[in-house]
Amino acid sequence: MTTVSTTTSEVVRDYQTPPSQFDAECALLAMLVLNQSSTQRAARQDVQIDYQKLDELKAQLAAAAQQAQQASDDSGFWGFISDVFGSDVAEVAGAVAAAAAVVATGGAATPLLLVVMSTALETGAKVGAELGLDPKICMAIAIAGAAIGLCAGNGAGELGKAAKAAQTVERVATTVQGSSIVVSGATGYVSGQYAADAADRQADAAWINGQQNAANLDIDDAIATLERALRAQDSMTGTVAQIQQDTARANSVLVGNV
Amino acid sequence: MTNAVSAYASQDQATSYDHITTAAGELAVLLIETESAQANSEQAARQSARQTYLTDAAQQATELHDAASAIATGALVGAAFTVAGGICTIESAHLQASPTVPANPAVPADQTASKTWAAVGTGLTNLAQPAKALVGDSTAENDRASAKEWETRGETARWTASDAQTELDALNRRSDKVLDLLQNINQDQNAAANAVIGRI
Repeated sequence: MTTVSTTTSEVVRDYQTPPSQFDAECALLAMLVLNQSSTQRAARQDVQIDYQKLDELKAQLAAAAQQAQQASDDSGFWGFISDVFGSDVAEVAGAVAAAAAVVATGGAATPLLLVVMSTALETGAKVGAELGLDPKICMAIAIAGAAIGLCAGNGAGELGKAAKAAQTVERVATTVQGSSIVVSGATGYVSGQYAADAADRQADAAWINGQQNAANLDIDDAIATLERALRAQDSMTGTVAQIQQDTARANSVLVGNV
Repeated sequence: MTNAVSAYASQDQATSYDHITTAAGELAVLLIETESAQANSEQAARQSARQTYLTDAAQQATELHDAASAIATGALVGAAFTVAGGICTIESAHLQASPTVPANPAVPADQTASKTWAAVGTGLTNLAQPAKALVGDSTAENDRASAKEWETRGETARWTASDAQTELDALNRRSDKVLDLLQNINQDQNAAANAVIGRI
């Protein structure tokens, strides 16, 4: 806050009209100083008002920045959720559905695929054991390989059951895929709304910043006016003092001549 | 009362200088009047630049708000496509379960409808991002570019206001010097008058 000394204006404030005992120069000085004092008062008031405005704007700017940050964080969170559902969950579910579809449609390659998978898993279990992989994991791989091998080797009946199961898996996976896409869309919308909120708050911040700059310009102007008024007052006082000196000197010369 | 002119001249307002008698004094008064007129002009330029700055800042904020609206619209359109795509995918899964002949589940289901829904779902889902970019992101970028332009204009106006303020300060300093000059002229006049009076 600015508090400017008001000594001169206070001194002059009481002289609404120059006292009659003043000579012309002093009366003129008093009037001019009165005038400059009111200018100074107005300038000081302007500065104070502008500083108050600046304080308010600063608070508003801080609030807008905080809200923008909060909205941005929320947008990021919901965007992450949207990505998880839209990319990860939906894609995995889609891949499962596609794999299940291959089995479910009973394609000619299914038995061959199952044999290849079974062999690969059995080999993987053996190699894993040799390389020191956890025996439990090796056992699980071997069991999975054996189960697939069983399906592959058990003729049309078992394949039919596997196809039915695969159909169910495909349906469920597709449903999960669709649901996750819907969730992804909904959360993406929420994320977008928060992003728009953040952009809105940033726009507010830009406007507040503009007002701050304008207030700073006003403060500069008011301070310049105040400075000018003070300088003018000093100058007037000096001038009138000089006038008084000149008058006194002229009087002494005149007195000396008499 | 000749000396009173200097005091009058200290004021910013237009004043009467009828009592100035010397050529130097008149020149000084003319200089003060010129400086005063220039100061008024600079003040007006400064006020105008300030107003322009505020207008430009408001315009910038409006463009940024428009960009925010475009982002919201884009999000809505993108979400609409995505949700529609997801619903189509779910419908395709639902149709996979329906046998072609409800009375005889042994008849294999016709997957055509399911595949069609799945294709539509995939298409809608894939369209979501381009639609969002078209409706939202590109419009928002366009608005942001406009906002940047207004910001640049505003900065230019601010510089103009600042330059006008600097010029105003310089003019005031010059005016002070001229006032000092006028005061000195008056002092010299008085000294001369006193000297003359002393010789009488």
